[in-house]
Amino acid sequence: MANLKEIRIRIDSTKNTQQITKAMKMVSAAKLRKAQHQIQNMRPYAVTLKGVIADIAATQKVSHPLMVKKANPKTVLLVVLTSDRGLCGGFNSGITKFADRYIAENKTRFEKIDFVFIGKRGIDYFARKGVKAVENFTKLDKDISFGFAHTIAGNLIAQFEKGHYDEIRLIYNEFKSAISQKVVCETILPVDIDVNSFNTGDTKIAADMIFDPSPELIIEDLLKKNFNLQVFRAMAESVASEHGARMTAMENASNNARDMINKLTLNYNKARQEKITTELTEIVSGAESLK
Amino acid sequence: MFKLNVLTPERKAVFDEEITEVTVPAYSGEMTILPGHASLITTLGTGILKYKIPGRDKVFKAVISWGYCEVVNGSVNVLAEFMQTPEEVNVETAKATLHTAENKLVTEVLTDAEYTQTVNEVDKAQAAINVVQQ
Repeated sequence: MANLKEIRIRIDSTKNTQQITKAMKMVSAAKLRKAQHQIQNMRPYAVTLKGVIADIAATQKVSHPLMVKKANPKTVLLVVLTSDRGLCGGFNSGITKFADRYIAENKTRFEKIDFVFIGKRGIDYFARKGVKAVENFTKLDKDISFGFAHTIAGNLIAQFEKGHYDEIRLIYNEFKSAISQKVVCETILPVDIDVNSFNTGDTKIAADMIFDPSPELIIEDLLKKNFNLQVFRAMAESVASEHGARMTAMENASNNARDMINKLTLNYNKARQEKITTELTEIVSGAESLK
Repeated sequence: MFKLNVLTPERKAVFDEEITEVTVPAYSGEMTILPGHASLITTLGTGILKYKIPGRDKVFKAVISWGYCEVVNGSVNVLAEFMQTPEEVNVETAKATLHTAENKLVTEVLTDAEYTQTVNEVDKAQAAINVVQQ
């Protein structure tokens, strides 16, 4: 058994670690609440915007290149959304594994798969594997702003409009709850708006609706804005998931540290008692021998 | 009287507020909507949104940047990407932004995207200054 001093040192260092993990958990919990709030606030906006696009598309019979699906997509741009920081459990490895599998499965189906990585973890991981990206983005760790999402979305839409890609897909962690995230792969361009489902229901748009400018121009504008919003939403979800994952990971780490401290304390006490017993025996036997 | 809703990606700014008139920076210029307006959809530029609540003298104002506005069944729904109330505007920063953006327009060679963005910045800063000073 290790000597008393060694155990003491280990207990102290574990306690320090526990303090750090506890603090990180608290911080993540606070950040998670903020991120969740952001998602909730965005929802009505997103729902209204999508509804209006579908309404206009259905009633005015307008279409737009951003909405047209290709029958046989040949070139695909994969946007992989990870975090900038680690210590968040399986958050990033889930994403990178999914991306790896996606590449392996679809290598033969598409002519070209290109990548855009958002988040330092993803960039580092794929750089080690020698996968080259078209573009990299970092600094996701602070509050994500609509402006940041805007820049990325603008880049993606420009690539798509130039005809470089038939499809743009986004891999990110969808926020389910504080303790669970799901890796999802969504096709974000062309925009998938189910016009038919809106056709049957009664739309809010009257026959004599005034459009200023024309429906075609409005829908183009709305589609682009909707796309920006989709990117923003995905990023918000990802950030919320990251904090959720980190919170869970830190909770586990704190629990493990507690168990470890308990075990070490038990060992420490055992060792201390043993030492006392040995000393006592020595004293008693010493006294015996003097008689 | 009719209802006004203003939504932004970051919050629900105005919700079911009963108002008597609202002015928006519409696609073809500033437009005031009064009760009984025909159904309409328009996109919004950068500018100032104003509305009047009955029984109160104050005109409520806010800077908005890009959005769309629909008038349906006697209610006005505004979706704006960016919104700032006069209380949130910092005139000093707005002036600084305006200055740098204007300089950029004059001195630098910009791509189309950069140009649009900078013009938008100028508009936004100008609207922010106006909303406070008007």
